[in-house]
Amino acid sequence: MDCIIAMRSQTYAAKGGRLLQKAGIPYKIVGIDPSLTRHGCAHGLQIPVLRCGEARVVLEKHHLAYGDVLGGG
Amino acid sequence: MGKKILYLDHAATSWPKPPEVIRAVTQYMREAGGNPGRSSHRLSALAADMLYTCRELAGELFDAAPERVVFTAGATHGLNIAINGFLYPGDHVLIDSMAHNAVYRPVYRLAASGVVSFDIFDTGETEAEYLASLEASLRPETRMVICTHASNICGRIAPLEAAGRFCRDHGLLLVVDGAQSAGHIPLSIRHHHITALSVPGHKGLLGPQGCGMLIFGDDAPVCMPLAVGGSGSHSLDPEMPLDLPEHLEAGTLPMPAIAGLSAGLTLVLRETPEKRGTEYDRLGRYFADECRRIPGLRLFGCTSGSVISFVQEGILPSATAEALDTLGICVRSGYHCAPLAHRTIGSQDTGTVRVSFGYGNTAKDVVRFLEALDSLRRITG
Repeated sequence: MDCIIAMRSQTYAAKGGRLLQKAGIPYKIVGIDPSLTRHGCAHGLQIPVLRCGEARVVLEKHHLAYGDVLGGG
Repeated sequence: MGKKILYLDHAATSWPKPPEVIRAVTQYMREAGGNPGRSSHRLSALAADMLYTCRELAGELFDAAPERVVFTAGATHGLNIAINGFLYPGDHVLIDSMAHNAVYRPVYRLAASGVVSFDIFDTGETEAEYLASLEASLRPETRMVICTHASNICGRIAPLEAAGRFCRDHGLLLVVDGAQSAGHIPLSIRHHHITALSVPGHKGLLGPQGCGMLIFGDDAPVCMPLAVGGSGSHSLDPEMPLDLPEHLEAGTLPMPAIAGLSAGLTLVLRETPEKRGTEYDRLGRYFADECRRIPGLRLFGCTSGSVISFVQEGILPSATAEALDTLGICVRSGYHCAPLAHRTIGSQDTGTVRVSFGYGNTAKDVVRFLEALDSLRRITG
């Protein structure tokens, strides 16, 4: 099972992905269904749910803002 | 025709492109080809990854955050975004006396519409003269300085570090036209206190034509978009997303060109701008020194860089360029879209023949060019 961390944009999703990669956390950049967001199309980082908390710590450590955590966080 | 081409028009665009740039473009078109940030399938994801890699490479080269690298159609497009996006009614702008029309025309247009006012400050010959001229041109409503980092008609280089300090100390936005310097001279957004740097992808960065970058400093204020439209995110909002780079990137990006630019940036990072620029400057100085021995050949402006302007006595620059073309030599003649700069260096009556050295040129090319000039002189002499 995975969780999805919503990112501000595709670029920030890529930036976050690079950070997770360095931390050894598997991820995939995915589009988030517009029905789940307030602004329409969005991008997020799909991560194994057991590592979601760890991923959030990595993003926060690098001051990379993120939005909702869908499906597990 | 049939002669091996000697390309000395790198200030217009670099040629030939490095093999790795050509490979990257074709590889992208064969194997990736998706639209980044628009779909979730693998080709779109691959394109998005390549796009971000290019932002990272540019961020590394220009000392900026990758997310502050905005892709544009070229340096002119980027300058238009910065000029139109940062300025408000009543603002005063300072442009320098070496400015290209990519700066002069958008500023002139805003001024002609009554939105802003502007002055042209003399770059002078020294850093002290440059700063004194800037200081003397300041008004209380001055908001922006636009600096031509390297001239496109001669070797003049602006004292960017000093200009950056000046703008920081006076609370001014510093927009830099890096069309001729990117890839040839070290440039640091942070160290030089640059608000926005506009560069082409196809000149010193060796990428294909069709893409450039506008790179923002960490403290740059919000820049209003020149074009709005699809951005791949925030699609329910009537306005563009506020975050860079998507804020300024409406529509589909030129991914084949960006893939090639990544290869060009990698090469430039490996060779370093300092090393490349030093080599091309050396060729320019060698050429200029030899030109001084040619009777009837007049050099214009600063002759210490990789771009040299000259006129042959009694021959129109266009005729010289045409004659050189018959010998397989590519140079540019005319005003090079920089009327202010020609006024500054005294070549406004005829324009000049411009020789510009870059990727792939060697001292042998200088020798061949000098021989060609000599043969033309004997024919016309």
